[in-house]
Amino acid sequence: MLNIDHMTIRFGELIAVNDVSLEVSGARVTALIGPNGAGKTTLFNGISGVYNPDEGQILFNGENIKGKRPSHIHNIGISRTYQIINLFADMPVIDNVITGMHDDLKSNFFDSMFHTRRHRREEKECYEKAHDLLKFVNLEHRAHEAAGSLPYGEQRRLEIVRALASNPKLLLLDEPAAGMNSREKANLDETLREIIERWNLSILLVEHDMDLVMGVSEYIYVLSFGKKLAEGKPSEIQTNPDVIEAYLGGDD
Amino acid sequence: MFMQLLFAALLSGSIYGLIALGYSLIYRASGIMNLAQGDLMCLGGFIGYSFYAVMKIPVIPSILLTVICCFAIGSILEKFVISPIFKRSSTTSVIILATVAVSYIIQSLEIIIWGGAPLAVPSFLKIKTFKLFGVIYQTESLLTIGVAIACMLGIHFFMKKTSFGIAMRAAAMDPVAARSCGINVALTTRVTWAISATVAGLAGIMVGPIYGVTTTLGTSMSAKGFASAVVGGYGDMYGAILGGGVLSGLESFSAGYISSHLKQMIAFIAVLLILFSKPRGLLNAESVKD
Amino acid sequence: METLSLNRPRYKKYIKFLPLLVVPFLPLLLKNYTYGIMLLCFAQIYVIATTGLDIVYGYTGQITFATSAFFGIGAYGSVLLRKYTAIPMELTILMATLLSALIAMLFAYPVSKLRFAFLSLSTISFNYIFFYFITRSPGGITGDFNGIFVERLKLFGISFKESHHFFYFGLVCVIILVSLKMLLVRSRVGRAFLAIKQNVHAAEGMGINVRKYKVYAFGFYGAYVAFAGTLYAHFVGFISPETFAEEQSVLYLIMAMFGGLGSDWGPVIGSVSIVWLNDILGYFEKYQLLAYGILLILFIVFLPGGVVGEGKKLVAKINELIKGAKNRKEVDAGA
Repeated sequence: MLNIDHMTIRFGELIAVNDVSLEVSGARVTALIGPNGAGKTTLFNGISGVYNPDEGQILFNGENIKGKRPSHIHNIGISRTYQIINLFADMPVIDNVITGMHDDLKSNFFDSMFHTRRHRREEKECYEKAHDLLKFVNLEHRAHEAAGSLPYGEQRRLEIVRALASNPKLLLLDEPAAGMNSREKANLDETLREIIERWNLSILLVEHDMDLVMGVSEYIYVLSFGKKLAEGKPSEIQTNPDVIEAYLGGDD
Repeated sequence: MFMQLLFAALLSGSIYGLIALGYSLIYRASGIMNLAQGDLMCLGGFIGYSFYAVMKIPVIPSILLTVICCFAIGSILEKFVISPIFKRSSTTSVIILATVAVSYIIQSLEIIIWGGAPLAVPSFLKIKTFKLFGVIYQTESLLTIGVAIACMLGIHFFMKKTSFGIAMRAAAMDPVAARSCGINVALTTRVTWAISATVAGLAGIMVGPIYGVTTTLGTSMSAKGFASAVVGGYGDMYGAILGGGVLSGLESFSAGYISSHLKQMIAFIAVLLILFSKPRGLLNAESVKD
Repeated sequence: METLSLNRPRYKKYIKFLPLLVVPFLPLLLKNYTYGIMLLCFAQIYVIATTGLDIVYGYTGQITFATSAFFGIGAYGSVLLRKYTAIPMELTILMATLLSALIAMLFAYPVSKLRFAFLSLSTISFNYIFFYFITRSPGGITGDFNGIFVERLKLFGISFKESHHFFYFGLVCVIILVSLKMLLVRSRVGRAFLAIKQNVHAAEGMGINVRKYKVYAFGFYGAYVAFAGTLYAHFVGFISPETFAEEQSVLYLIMAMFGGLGSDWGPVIGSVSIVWLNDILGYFEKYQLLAYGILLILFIVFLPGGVVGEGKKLVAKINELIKGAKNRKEVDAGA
């Protein structure tokens, strides 16, 4: 599904992502871990088009998406959440979700301006779909509140359903558990499994919470100082001496 | 011809640079643009006129008194207009409109106090002109350029070497961290506005004998100073000065070699082209927020 | 689903518009005060322009100081086409409007990557370039600084020269254009505009082609403002460059903000109030600008959200108080 081939991203002298190759496929969770500053979020930004990688190729179902607009990459099936919450803070919760469906709606300018039958039908459908999605993460009661007024954990969940609203084939989750309390974290594990089952998609997960990572992912890549340090099944990673060294040596 | 054009560019460039410097300083301290910057320049010119031409006070004391007045005006502006608006947490663009309102108030006061007609300021110096390579120049222009350069150097050293200047830079970079280090951010912001008003006012008094003082100059000077500051890389002190030079050079040389009718249009077309090819200005300032 | 406004009884939704029924009768009420009717006509023209500005500024969050240039493209466009060709006025108005929309979109394409000060400067520059162009036009076709006399508004054989005739034409235009904007912002396109204003990175990340939508927003802006400009030219009968100078662009921003950005009624309230206020301040003669500036600052300090924005806040506060009181009652009853 997603093949990253020797990706390098530089910021002037600093090499944030250094010759990293990885593969994400199947209806399962692939995790990307590493100490702070290892380049995980930069790599995400490279995939989703926020940065244009200096070298390498990114193939998504055969299409090279390197250097494409983020909106294009989203619309061909790669959806994401953000490490620093990136909601439309003053919009109602439900409108945040509907904005995630932007590309799936077929109303054109004419429909929008004159509220044609197609526009009305589509609006009704997407409101219903959005309510459904909000129910999935227990946010339905918040539908008409401003997204920015929600507690942190709920904002994280809202970001996840906003990303799911477009029915993506690949979901990039950037530290979804950050800022969640322990009960929410425990539920997240279950939520991720349900997402995979219901949407039949692949998840690439960046996360610091090792219990979550080890519990939910089937394959793990480890980054350190921009370079790929190791890859393998959770059991292999847990016993890999390089990985242990990187984590102990770092400030984590 | 080239030398004359270069000299003209240096003269207007040093004025644009001074106004642009004010824009940059204020952006760093308050995150907005003060569209009254050109009017503060004109106000400086009018105040200088009162001291020098009306009260007949000698040149140097006149300039010093003007500088003190402008410093006070900048502080008052920040304390009684800008800071109350910030306290009510308005959006950036609303505060920018407030600076437009300030510009209306300044223009109106100028008309009420000094009348609407342009005023001629008598020369500061005994020697009115000098000759260089067969071309005659106005001595005042040279003086203005000199004062502008001195002023820019002064601000450079003030910001880099004095503890108050360093505090000002720290407060502009990260107000929360600066506050926790014991820096009085409210004070540094106020002083920034005061310095910006002073620099603009100084430009105003210096050009008095060359262009005269008028109210109508304010708006276009605000726009040109702003253009200089942005083209250079908004928020960067050195970018502001560079931008002033670029804009005045464009105007001066297109007036000389193309058409003086079209110089403004050419300059603004060039500004657009620079923005399209360098969306963050010539000196890429990191401080520009997304 | 009871929260969806779709299912509320329809008459309740429209009840708040009842006072507007008085508007068509205003010329009759002001029969002996032609000047007042004329002010209302100007207000209508500004309502249309400010509504367009609100799409690009209030909804999409792109500040622009080029409004008077697009106003001028409409005015000069229609006037020059009328003067130098045999095209009927109905078409010159339409052509100038579309031309302006096209120019706005072409301008927005490179401008879409600029932010804040850089965006402001690009629009300021555009307005200056337009101003220098009409004052030093090739062959003096625009009349340069002297301005140009214009045929008064006459469409399909009906003359709208008099204020009380123009008023009804203006009213129809306002109703149509304001309604279209209301519908537009309540759609997929409107949501995209708002998303860009609130968080441009997230908007792009959620599949909205930010550049494309900024270009569209500028297109609407160009069309609305230029249409208002054509009406202005043919209503006044004379245009000269000062009306289209950079300084004038701020006027539209003030109107939009005074009314309240990103709202249905903000442009209407803002334009009518500012036109009326400017007229009253005219009596202050040389203190006019001073009073205007001071009022503007007071307004920004005390009503930063504009009339509509602050009104909404007030309503929310009152609702909360009522809710609190109700809850307390219930608690008391329970005890």
